[in-house]
Amino acid sequence: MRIVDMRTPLARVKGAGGLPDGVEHWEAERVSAVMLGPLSLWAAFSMLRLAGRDREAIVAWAGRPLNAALLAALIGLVTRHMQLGLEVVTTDYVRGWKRSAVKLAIRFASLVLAAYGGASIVRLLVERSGKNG
Amino acid sequence: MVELRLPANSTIREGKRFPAPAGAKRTREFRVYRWSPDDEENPSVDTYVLDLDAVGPMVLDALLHIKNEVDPTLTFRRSCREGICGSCAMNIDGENTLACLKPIESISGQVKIYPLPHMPVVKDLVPNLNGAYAQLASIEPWLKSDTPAPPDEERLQSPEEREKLDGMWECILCFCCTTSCPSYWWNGDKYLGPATLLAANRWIVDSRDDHTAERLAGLEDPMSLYACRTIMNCTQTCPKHLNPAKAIANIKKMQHDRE
Repeated sequence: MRIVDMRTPLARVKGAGGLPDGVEHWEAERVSAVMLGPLSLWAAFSMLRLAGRDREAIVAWAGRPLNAALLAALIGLVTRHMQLGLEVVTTDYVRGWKRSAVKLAIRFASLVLAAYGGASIVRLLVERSGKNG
Repeated sequence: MVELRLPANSTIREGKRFPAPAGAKRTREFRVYRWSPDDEENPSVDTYVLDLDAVGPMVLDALLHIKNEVDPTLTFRRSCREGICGSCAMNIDGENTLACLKPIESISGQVKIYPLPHMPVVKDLVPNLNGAYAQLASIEPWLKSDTPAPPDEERLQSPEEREKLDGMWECILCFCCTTSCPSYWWNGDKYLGPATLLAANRWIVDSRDDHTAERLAGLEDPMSLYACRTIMNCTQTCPKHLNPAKAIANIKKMQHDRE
């Protein structure tokens, strides 16, 4: 078999070097996880309190600025955390050009999910202000 | 995608069987991975039935007994036979360890012996560690100081500073940890692995070295350091009972503190 790669082991190991952004991703994973702790508790507690209530009560609840803001933060953080986590899984399990393709798909899906959540909150806010006015 | 199946030429066959010598009372089966680059055969697992009364207490003693008395073609690395050279690192009973430190009696049933996982095999139990050695060289594991040493004495270090190196200088570079790490199996071309990161931390915390900033900057990319997923196989398997996972955690902490 003809040897094609005749670089030294050191040259192969160093390659082109890495991008200087490892800390950022790693910290974002943890920071989003920590912030999701209290937010998730709040969300679970609110869902339990709203269980069985009619649509009007839920619109009234979600239309309050504090609740809407916390919901938006929850959706933003969940989708961000999901994206970061799935990127890590992709790094571990997907090779070559497929890695970039899968990561692109993950980013796009996360963005669409976050936007969908945001649009839903806006709709609830509009619905509530319509009722008030 | 992740490789769930072995390539066709890697599927392991059943190999030869070497029966126990006549009159053996205390026998034990040793199942040993065999592969030779000199023929086109797939790897196989040979079975050696040994008389435990005729061999020493450690797995390395059994391998030496096989090589000397039963089958001289068996190939493996060994040197010091007392856990300080790291040559006889291999996968024994499903765990990476040093054959010279692993008592046969600590294993129940068959003794299964394979080379260190997920490295190219040179022959039988000898892995090709060139990539791992190159990774170690890439972090420049030696004292780097732009400050000239005092002309008439060594570079001084307080007992407290010296204490920080404990648990790291003892590493014998057998690469049991690195080859036990799933992250290294997946991304061993870019992730440095626990042994090399332990060595990196050993120089990062050395008070006599003044290249800490450059060392940390060199590790600050998504793969070299952060491909560590804190699986902790490294610490569990280390035959010298060191804690590479803690060393990696320290590097991550120091990266954070650079903010």
